[in-house]
Amino acid sequence: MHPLVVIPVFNEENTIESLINELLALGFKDILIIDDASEDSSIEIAKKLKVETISLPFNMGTWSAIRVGFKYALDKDYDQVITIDADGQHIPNDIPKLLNGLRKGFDIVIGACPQRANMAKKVCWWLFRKFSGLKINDFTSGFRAYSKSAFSKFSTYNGANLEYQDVGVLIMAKKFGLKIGEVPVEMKSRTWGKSKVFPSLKSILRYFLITFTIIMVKGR
Amino acid sequence: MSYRTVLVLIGICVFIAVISLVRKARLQEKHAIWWIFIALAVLVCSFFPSIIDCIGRYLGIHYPPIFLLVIAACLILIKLLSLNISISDNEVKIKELAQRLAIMEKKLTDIKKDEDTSLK
Repeated sequence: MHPLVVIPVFNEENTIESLINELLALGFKDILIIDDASEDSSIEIAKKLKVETISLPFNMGTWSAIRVGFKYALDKDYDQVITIDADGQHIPNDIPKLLNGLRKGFDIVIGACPQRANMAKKVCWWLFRKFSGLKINDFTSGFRAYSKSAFSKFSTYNGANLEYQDVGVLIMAKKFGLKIGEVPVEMKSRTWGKSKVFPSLKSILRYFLITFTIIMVKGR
Repeated sequence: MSYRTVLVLIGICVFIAVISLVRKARLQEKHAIWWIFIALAVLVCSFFPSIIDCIGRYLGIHYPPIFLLVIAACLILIKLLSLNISISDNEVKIKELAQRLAIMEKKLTDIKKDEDTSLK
């Protein structure tokens, strides 16, 4: 069975079409767009391209959108789920590398590109590594592959309490006994718009405090 | 006005407010219990201030009304924490429900599409 490619979307009308076309050209026919209450025409574009879409009733954040994809994958009996950002930073050509990681026995494979991080991000990741005990090079990459045992565990009520698809998810994965691996991938720089996770200094600070609390409370 | 009178007034106000909120169905009975307990405790303390004095002296507090303030602060902290727990719990439940709703809607749309195609 083909993997299900889950794309959480929030106002990505400028990049969504080319991403879907690229995926279709590479033979990834099972694409699920999770519309996280976009205010632009992202969802209409996706529907026009005849891919599966699910619209959330209100904006819930990337991780919640991804969990909907996990639940859908469970329902449709998929074995693998790929998550890829809709902003065009991830390169669909690298998906086989992630799937190869799953074949090697990993439950979560992260498409890692640590060289894209600026100094502040590098310091954050170093702190996260130090305190969480996770040996991960790229904590925030949303370009990931999940095995069935991984996404079925995250679909349960336990996975609902998180906001971001990064450290908290990986700490939970470690607790579940899932094997986490990384493969190096290239990432393009953002061509359009601002980061949805870190649009401002306030949101960066909020993210850092939440993540650090998760590490202190649940890590190690 | 003595602090006893203030306590009596606070106790009565809290009691009346809670009863009226429950009657208007703006506060559930299970949450009202806490506030009725607080109102009664305040009233008891105002009618029998010697209780506060006794406990304060027993704990070595020289100015017993301080004991009342410490207890009040503790109760407020407990209530705030329990409120935050309940908010977190509700947020998770709302997210779960919304996610299930989104999947159900998708299923419904797919069923409708299948029906339309079979009718054609």
